[in-house]
Amino acid sequence: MASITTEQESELLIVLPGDQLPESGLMEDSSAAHRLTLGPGLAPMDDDSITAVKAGILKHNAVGNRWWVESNQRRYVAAQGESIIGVVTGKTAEHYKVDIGASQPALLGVLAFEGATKRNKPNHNIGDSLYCRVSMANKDMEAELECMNPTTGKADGFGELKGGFIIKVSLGLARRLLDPKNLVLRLLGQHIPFEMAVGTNGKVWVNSASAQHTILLCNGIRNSEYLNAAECVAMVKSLVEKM
Amino acid sequence: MKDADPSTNEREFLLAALKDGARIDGRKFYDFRTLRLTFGAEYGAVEVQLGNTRVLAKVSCEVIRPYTDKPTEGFLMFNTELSPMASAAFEVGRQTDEEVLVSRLIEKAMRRSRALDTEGLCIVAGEKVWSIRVDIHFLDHDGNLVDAACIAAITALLHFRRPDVTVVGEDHTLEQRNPVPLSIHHIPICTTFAFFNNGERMVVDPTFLEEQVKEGDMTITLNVHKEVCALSKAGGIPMEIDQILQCTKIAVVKVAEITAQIQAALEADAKKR
Amino acid sequence: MSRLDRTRTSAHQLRPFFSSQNLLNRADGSAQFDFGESSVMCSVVGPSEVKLRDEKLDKATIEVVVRPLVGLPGIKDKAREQAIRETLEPLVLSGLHPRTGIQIVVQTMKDDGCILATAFNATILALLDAGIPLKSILGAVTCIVDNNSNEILLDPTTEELANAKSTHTFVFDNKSSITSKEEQQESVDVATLYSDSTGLFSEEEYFECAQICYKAVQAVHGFIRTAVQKKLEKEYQQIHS
Repeated sequence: MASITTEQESELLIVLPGDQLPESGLMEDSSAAHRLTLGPGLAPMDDDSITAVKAGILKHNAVGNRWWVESNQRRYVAAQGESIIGVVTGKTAEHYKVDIGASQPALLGVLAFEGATKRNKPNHNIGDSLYCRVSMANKDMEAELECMNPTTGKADGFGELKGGFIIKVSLGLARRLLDPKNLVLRLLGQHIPFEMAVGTNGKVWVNSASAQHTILLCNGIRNSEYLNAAECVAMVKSLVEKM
Repeated sequence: MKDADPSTNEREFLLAALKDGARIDGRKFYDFRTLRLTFGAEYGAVEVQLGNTRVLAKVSCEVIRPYTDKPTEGFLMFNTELSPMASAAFEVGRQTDEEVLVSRLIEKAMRRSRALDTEGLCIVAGEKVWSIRVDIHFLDHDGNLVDAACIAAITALLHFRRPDVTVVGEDHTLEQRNPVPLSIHHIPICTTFAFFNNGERMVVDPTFLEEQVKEGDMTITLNVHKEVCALSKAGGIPMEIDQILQCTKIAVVKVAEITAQIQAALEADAKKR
Repeated sequence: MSRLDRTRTSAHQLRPFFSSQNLLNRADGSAQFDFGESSVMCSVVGPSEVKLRDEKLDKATIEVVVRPLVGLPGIKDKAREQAIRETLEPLVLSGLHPRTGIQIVVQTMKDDGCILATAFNATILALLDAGIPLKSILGAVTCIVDNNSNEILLDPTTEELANAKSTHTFVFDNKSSITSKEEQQESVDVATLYSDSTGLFSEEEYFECAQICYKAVQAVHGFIRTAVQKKLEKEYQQIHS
């Protein structure tokens, strides 16, 4: 096993399951010396060591001495507070059943919309796509969703996604698309005006003025995953030229 | 685990785009996806990639006793069990309707069209014949398993070499001589069409999403001599006779292209050996 | 001594490795692993829905399906399914995903011996690709004791296997390398995840095989690490460029 030293931190520090984090490295640059926050991909083992459980890049944030592993996968596991795109698969008097790509469908209360009351609430049909927020996620229970900002009670962009097309990408790519500085989105936006919603569950909704444009955008986003900056520029250029 | 139905957005967008003259992956209506053929070091194994659909075909042979009523005929068998690797919707040990259809289509296209000369597989009449087995493994399902499986099966049969045998009296011995190719009469190739918008739109080589949204489909099996080997339209919307003829004309072009590609791949592989 | 496959010069040499991850678009994770002309593809789906009768309240249910290259799955494949499942069960942190299923499908693509070891390595790469939480990774190799020379041959081909007096397959985890940093340490039983031996062999031969396989597995671990590293670098090049 490669022992992890903090000196390497400047470059990509790749860990595999079973790699232990040295105790000294964990505590060193923390002001509150004995506090430690573990994020995804790290877990304490029976022998009290902190071990990586996923393959990925070890990340560290000095604020709060946070450590986590940034990894990529395709299967979504619901986490509280994340914005996701789901498809309505069923409906009861109190809940919509929503497929969010996780192991089980999530529940969305029929009243979890902006301004919804018992008499006046939005009606959604099976097959509709909704942009929602995970209000509760727990490994032992179905996830719960809501279509509003819990602090303000306003829709804040959550709700039904009308028209457009939805593609499935890896969770890592979805996270990168949420970065306001994302290269491929900026490049595509220079040529085609479009709107989009990115779900951290790997579903991306894209809409533009014409079907041809939407198809091009979807292909551009999908193709960008394994390209570097220069290749991205060339890829978008060739897509736009072909149009 | 059943496959999730596509959302209304996906379904409506796909249909609207087709009306507009576009397909989701940027293809034209009558285009196949990129076809890639990869051979292993061994004879008779080929991996076919049709876009994201992936199929592996492996040919093997053994010597067995023929049926008494057909003493000079060898055997050709196909194993087309759908693996859960291709899609979690395929369960082990439970045949789905899709699996039955795929198996039947391949059987019809390859065996019933007599693509392989089974008489040529006889070693000693009434005693010993070759049994050729084609195992088709579906690795990734992005639509149109039939065409991909058919290309894989025929390419693997063309690539395969069986051991040469010498008959001495009643016995046969496997020789150290160079293995011999199978004698193949013609190369049947399937072309699958999917229909949309009340049959007004049709596309070749549907993807998984297109298959989920389609209103009907038809598979035409042809060889390069423009002979129809099999034609299958299992349900779906009714079609005009003219449209079937139009499909056949499109298929003729596609079959010529694919046959040429298979032959080029086989030649390139033969040069490497 | 030259080996039967003529590409290798030493008895303790492995065939060239090859691996590729994220090949299949329908699975949540997939990988192919080759030892020379032996090749196995593995797909992983999960954590996903599980049939009610297989559901476990406190952990994920692991299902392994092994599919042979030729013919229908038989007893040998069932035995391999069990070997892989029981080796993985303690490795996968299945408690993190209760009431879900993790389905692993193993498909032989090319067979030139050592399929079980190849399958183990393909499986771990596919699990890493799928992001299933694991306690550690594993690595597997097979060796034989040759019938004529009594020599131990690592990673044998089909031809060499035909002439084996005994065959041994070992799987070690990568944590084991910490406990046995002292190379001199004779016993290797500390972190063996799986050991399967057939044929006639002495106790001495067994431990020698284990020792040799243990060393070889370090190369497999190293290879897996490099493979994962390359994949991650490719994924993250956009951010860091």
